[in-house]
Amino acid sequence: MVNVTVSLPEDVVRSLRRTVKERYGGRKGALSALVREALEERISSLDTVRPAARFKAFEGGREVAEGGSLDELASKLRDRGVDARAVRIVSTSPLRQVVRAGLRGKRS
Amino acid sequence: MSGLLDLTPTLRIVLRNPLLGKRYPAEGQALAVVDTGYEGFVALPRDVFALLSFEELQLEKRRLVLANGGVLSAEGAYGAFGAPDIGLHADGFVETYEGLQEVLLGVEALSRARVLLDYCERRMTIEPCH
Repeated sequence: MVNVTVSLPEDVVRSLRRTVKERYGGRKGALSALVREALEERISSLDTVRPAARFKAFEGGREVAEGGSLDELASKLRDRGVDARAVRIVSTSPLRQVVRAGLRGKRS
Repeated sequence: MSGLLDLTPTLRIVLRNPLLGKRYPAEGQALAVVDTGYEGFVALPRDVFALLSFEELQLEKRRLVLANGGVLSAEGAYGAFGAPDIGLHADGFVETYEGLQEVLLGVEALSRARVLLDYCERRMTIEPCH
């Protein structure tokens, strides 16, 4: 374990100590454990920010162009004389096959 | 511009099919419903999907699970949306399914934005992540 000195607003520290006392009964090491857990969760959530997707165009299973955006991909396809209707576009961020949707009602 | 329409969060956007050089609406912007219950990118009514010529591209199919457990079959292609007023632009999977009558902006489209819903002040703000 490493000791780290950080500066926190008084109200945050008060809230932190109160939470530790209420949830963990002021057990030794509970404050460090809670801070560690919070930091790990936050770091994990930041790490899940995905890099921007790239797009690839395939014609008959062969990659014919790639771009960092659809505009770039479209431009490359035009330059190469490839009809966008004839290619399958794939993103490096895989398409989820099942997603949740809300339940938007129809206009009456 | 973004804002609350009654209590529904909305955003003025432009939709594009960059691969075929199509734009919707042809001029100005369209009102999209910000739907945080929709995990996708953008969902369009069939007629808007057709106006953007997405139907001419090779379409991918997938399933949408509704809040009531129902399952819808959707199909779509890659396209772009932009909210010029706030400088937010993204590419992603644009889909359509039977019965949809509104332009929906899902959480994937907003995954690079800060969205603040303030019902106390009847205000919504959206801005790109820094």
